Amino acid sequence: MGAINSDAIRGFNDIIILYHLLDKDSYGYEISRQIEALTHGSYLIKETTLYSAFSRLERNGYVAPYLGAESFGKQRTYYTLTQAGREYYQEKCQEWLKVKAVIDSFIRGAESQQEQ
Amino acid sequence: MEQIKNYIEALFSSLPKTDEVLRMQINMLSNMEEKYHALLGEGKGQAEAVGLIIAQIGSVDDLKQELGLLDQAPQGALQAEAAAEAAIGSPALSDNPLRQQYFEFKRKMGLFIAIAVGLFILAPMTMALFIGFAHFPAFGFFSFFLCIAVGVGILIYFFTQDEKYREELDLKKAKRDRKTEAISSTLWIGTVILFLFIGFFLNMWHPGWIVFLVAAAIQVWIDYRAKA
Repeated sequence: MGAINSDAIRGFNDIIILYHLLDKDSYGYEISRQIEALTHGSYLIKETTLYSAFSRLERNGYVAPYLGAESFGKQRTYYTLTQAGREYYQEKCQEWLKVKAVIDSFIRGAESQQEQ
Repeated sequence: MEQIKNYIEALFSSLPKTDEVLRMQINMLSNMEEKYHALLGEGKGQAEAVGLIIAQIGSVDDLKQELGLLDQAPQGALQAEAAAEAAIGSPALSDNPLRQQYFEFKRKMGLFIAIAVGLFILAPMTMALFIGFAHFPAFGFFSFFLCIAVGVGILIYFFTQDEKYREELDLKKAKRDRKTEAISSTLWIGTVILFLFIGFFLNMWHPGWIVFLVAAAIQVWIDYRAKA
């Protein structure tokens, strides 16, 4: 698997980021590392994308920031998923499944899987 | 690590300095520092670590694009700019770089208007000075007009610049529509004609000047009607 085109994945960054907050709180670098690990190096999320996403998610009330453990003299900004954020994540997952079903109809080899 | 700091500062330098943007910058910097030390811990050299980190940060355009798309609705370029403004928090007077520039400009303008007025006052003074000396009375007239000319030049320059800024920042009050403008112009030109008429033909310059006060009152009424 080669590297993923960041344009292709743009609409899904929210899902990708919120996924990491489902079970525990986390912070920037840890999430970025996890994304690289889970995609086996296929998706190296740009920092500009990641941190502006945090900003946006916070502004929309989907995540809440708080200052946590110190590292090298600076406090880490941890994020926790809010209830609204959890609901938003579910919505986005549903959206993806619908999109996936639609697009699969046009993928040679995958069309047969679409009953409708 | 210094290079990483500088890169991030440069990245954010052209962005409006709202709370949200500043927090983003600090967050990014703090995390990149942790990543840097993590890479060093893996055995990578300093230069390699810096290179890897900067390569994955993204460009200024990326950042602007991400902030512009914050509302996640399909938008034209102009709307995206406005969305970016709204998304990063309503910019106070000091946030938008152009507004800041305008603010600085206004200060300069105030200073120079004072200088221009000073010159206007100075003009007759210099004239009186030179004529008093009697050696070079002509200088008096020269300095008088020089002072006035410079003063007027300063005023013209600053007011045209001000217009430019106002247009750029969309500060113009769009209250006056074309119809109102036309009526107002007619009013004043008409008043001048009336004044000259009763002056030349009826020789009533003295009570005649009242027409201007009446015109001013009518103008106020016109503006009032225009607002309604």
